[in-house]
Amino acid sequence: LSTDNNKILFHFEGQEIKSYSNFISEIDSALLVLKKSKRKSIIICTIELIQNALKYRCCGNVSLTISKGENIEVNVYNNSDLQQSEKLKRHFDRIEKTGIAKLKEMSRQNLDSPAITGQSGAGNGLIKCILKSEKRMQLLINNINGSKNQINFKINFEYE
Amino acid sequence: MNKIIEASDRTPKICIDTTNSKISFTGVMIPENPIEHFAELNKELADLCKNMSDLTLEFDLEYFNTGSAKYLYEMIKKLAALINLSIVWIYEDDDEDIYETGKEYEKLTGLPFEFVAK
Repeated sequence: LSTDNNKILFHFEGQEIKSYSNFISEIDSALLVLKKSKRKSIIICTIELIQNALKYRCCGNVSLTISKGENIEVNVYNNSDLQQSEKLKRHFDRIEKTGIAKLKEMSRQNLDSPAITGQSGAGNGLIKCILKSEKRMQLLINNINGSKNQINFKINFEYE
Repeated sequence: MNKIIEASDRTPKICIDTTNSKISFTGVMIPENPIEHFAELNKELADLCKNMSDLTLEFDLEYFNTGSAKYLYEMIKKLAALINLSIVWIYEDDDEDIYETGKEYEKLTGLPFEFVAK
């Protein structure tokens, strides 16, 4: 784990967030060394990733670790079926290769496209995380048996 | 008619003040599926607009997820088609994310936005 040499600031593991107000305030307290705008960026990315992980997990727990090393590193893990993880990888690869100006334009277009019931953010969650982290976001997928993958989103935030 | 919908762990406090033609949203807005979550509110707001000519929406949101950003944009567009709408967008002065989202809405909707730093 990349957190081996890092100090863990916050950890969550479970299948639901029982209290978002506690969740937010605990992360905010753990990141007090950072200025408020940076803390808010990390928290909003964390909310996007954890809600996606909870929505698309196929089994087992979702976990979130925020650790402190050279950067602030956020890791979110969930298990997903193969079809879902392939879909996610295609979406991530497409936006990860896209430049920041184009991502902002895509986000605007998604916002202005007709709403689809059952889809919440129209695909803007990952775009937001990539923009907030200035493209320092990775998707790592490991097969854990024939029928499911472990999904790991890793984001690095600079201190300033 | 005045009505208050209290905040929940994931949704803002919503004050519907028909006396002053103002609806305010205060707090966090992070439900997993806001379009479904606020379906009843949408109907209520559309009904309210039948008896009003002007309406101010005031947003003082600390956090909202991308689903809620989409929902709010859709709601603003729908109400703007029914009524003379103006927006008050309150943000903390170092909160670029909330401010920029408001600017994006202003640009996309063409509506009058009043930005208020706190």
